[in-house]
Amino acid sequence: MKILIIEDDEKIRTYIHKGLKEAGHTADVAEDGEMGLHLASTEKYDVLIIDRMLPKIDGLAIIKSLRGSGNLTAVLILSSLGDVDDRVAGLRAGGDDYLVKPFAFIELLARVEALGKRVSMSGAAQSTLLKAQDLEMDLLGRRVRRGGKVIELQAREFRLLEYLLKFKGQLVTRTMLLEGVWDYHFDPQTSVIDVHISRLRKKLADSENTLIKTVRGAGYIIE
Amino acid sequence: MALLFTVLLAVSAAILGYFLMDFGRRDFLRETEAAIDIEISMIVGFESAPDELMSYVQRRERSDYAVRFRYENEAGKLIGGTIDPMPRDVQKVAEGILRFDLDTLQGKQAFAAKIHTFDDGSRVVVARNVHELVASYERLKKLSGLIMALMLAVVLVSFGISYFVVSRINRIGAIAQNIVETGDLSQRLSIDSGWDDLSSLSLVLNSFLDKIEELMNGVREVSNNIAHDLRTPLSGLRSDIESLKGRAVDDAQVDFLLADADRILAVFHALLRITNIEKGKRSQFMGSVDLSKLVRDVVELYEPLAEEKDIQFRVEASSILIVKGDSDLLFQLFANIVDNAIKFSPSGSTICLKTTEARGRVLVIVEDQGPGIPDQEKADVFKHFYRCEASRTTPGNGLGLSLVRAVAEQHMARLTLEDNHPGLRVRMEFQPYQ
Repeated sequence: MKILIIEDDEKIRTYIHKGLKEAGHTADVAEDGEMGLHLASTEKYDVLIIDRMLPKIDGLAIIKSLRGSGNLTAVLILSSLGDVDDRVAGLRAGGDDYLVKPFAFIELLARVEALGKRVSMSGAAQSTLLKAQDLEMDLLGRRVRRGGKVIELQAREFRLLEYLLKFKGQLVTRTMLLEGVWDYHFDPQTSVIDVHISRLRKKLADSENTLIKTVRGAGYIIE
Repeated sequence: MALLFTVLLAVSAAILGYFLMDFGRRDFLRETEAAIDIEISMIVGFESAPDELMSYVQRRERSDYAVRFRYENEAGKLIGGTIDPMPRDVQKVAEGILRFDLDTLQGKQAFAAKIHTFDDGSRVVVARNVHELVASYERLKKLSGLIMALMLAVVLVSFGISYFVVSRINRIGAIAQNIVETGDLSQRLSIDSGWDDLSSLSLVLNSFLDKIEELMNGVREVSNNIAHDLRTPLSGLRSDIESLKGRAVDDAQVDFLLADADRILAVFHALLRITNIEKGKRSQFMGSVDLSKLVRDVVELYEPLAEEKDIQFRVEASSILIVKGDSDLLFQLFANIVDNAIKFSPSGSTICLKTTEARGRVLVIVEDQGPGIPDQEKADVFKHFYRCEASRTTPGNGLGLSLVRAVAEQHMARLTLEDNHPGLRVRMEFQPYQ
């Protein structure tokens, strides 16, 4: 993927840049809002990572002016403001996702890749039949089969599996699951998500964790 | 100040009283005298015509009952007029003016009179009825006296009050000054009575001081706790990093260090969040939230976790109960409460969640069968970093209920902790959406 990083803090900028390159992406960097807006509107990117507070042009202003000119590139907002209000303000301005500093790089990477995927998926006709290994998920018939055997899932379990399958081959973090599957943004104090996953694994007879794999300290992945 | 005010008031009262009395007396005299002088100037014209004088006197007495005459000769013998005999009790009111009582149709009434003496020695006494005037003058005198007495009373009372008020204001000022100088927030203003405005002001100021003291203590406590609660993991982190010096590091060790750092960051994040909510920054994103649905969602999220501990949920939340709020924060509130309930419930027990409407308020009740919270700790559990004796060994940072209270206060919800015999009952009253 081709990614643009607009971030004024040099340490964070090079940290993200290095990480993205190691993950196999190409990335451009901009250290202020003016340069960022210029690059974002002249070059074609898959995802933009934009810091909220930037010199010259503010992060939200960049997003608004891009959206105003019909540029719909996916945007991940980075911010040290973690309030719900700030988050909603960021998303209302046209951001697609919001990540609060400090963050784990793996969380950023997972979100950037998910954003890239979401955009590429929205272009093509979405498949209503998701598959992974011997697992089949029929979104229209709301049926799940593994190795030909029908598995009964509750509504939330269905959504959980659907989310993981939609981002097949990609890391999905716990907070992404909370936001994507439960629609609430909050901090679970205990590992509630892990318990839901282990329940789902049990139903899918995934005793060896070979279908839904755990990525230590980060989240889950279905290969 | 008090004295000056009193003196000014007293002087103005005295001036007012004096003028009331003086004007009354002068008007009473002047008008009557002027009327009598007119009569006399007429009579002077009849000096050499006693017959015409007689007929004039008769005519005047007939046409004006207020006027009475006595026309007498040099020896004092009555020639004409109706004043007969000349009354014995005659007072001299002012220069040339006499006063006496005469019989009238309405009984004895007061008259003022002047005497004109002709060259031949005969005299005319011209009297005017001043009964009404005297009566109103008497009334005026009484009234002025009353006003003076009242003013005197006002002067005394106001002196008392101002002395009392000023001395108390000075006392309040002195205590405030003392608090500023010493920084000792435990001092309070004395309350002298329960009825006057200054005492209620003192009460308000005292509760103000209570609030400041509580906040100051809170800040002090929190900074102590931050120092304590973060120093331990930070020094742990430091020694862990130190031990890795000069050695090859594997991923598991890095993960371990990252988990340490994340825990510390989580405490900061939680603190920041609580502060932001407590700061009273009203969320602009308050919308209508169905608490019943929210409670069901929380239960659904936590159910597998409870199941692992063999804990059952019983939920009575079927009616739609809309409140105004921030659904993410409210979800956090109930998640924290349910999370605590699961943490402290024994396995095999039941956690009960109910949403109802009672007396125009939306009620959410969460009951568990855990150890509950002792009465003396009920107020403390909402403090930052507070951990009950019973919870020292369970995971947590002591900020969960602080966040609960902050969110409840932001939503103007009343939060009470009750005994469930055994266990804890958390009761929250919300205002319904209007």
